[in-house]
Amino acid sequence: MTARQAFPRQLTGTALEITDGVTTVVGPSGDRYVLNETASALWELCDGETGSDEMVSAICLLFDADQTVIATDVHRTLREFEHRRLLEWVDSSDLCKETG
Amino acid sequence: MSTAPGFADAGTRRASLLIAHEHTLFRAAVRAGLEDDSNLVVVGQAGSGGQAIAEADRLRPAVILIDSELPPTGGIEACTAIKELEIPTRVLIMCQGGDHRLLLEGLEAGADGYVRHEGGIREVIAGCEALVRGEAFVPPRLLAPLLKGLIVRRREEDAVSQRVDRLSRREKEVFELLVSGHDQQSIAKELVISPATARTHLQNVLRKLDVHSRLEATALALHHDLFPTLAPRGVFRA
Repeated sequence: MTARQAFPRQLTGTALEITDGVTTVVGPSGDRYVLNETASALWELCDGETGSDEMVSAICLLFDADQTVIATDVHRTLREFEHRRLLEWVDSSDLCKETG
Repeated sequence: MSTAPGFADAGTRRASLLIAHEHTLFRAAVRAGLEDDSNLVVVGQAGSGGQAIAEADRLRPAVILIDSELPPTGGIEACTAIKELEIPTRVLIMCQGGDHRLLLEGLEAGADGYVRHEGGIREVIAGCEALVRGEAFVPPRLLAPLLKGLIVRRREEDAVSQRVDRLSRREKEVFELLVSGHDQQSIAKELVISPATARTHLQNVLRKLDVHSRLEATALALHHDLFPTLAPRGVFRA
């Protein structure tokens, strides 16, 4: 699978809530999704500046895990966020326009 | 009765733990909490880095819980020394809050997991048990900042590599000599070139590395371990 070159970014209007150890992401329309620990960390890394490949490399380094397995999990999770309309993909040219 | 490595009691298969913390009261409290509610048994305690290293080597526990502030030099240094023993003991660093720089230092030292003081005994038990299972352990709230720290560090390393790659073979030789403590004159002598040529190479090195002084260039090399074969004696030569 070819990794996306764009950077995932949380959509405006989303929020992360932590209650009694349960992490929930709330979508712009109020839909709520409970996240596990890794999905929660990935969500926090969706800042529009961090690439999915960087996420994969860091997780592999931290947990001494197989790159193929982690890449599959990370990309599946990001696609799930996208499918649930929680994130968008931005590329570096978009970021330049916004900050320029 | 013989016991399996890392297990205090082969009959019950309770995993052995060494606690390394400066304060006796803290060690006693952790011991009481662990032995009441977990499959862990405390086989030893240490109040300093030196004791922790010696006890780890003697007892070979399954897990050693090390406080990041362990005197005299901190838990990270003790972790490094324990990992150099090449024993199967896994290291769980206990720290205050979520300072990701400390976590990164622990990762570089070979730590297998982290727990926070504020995570309480449940987090310590979860961390120890994860390490006994052969897993790494990071409290959920520390995972994102730690991953971000790793990503930032990787970017910095890549940026430095790109700058170093700009150097010609000769400039890399000059850079290495500079880092090993040579001045312009001795670089010229070492490479059998004129001092003026050595000076030109040094200026090119500083420009391509985007640093403003020889000291800054040396610091960059040491910080990123660009010349791992250099002996410290050479680096700090007068």
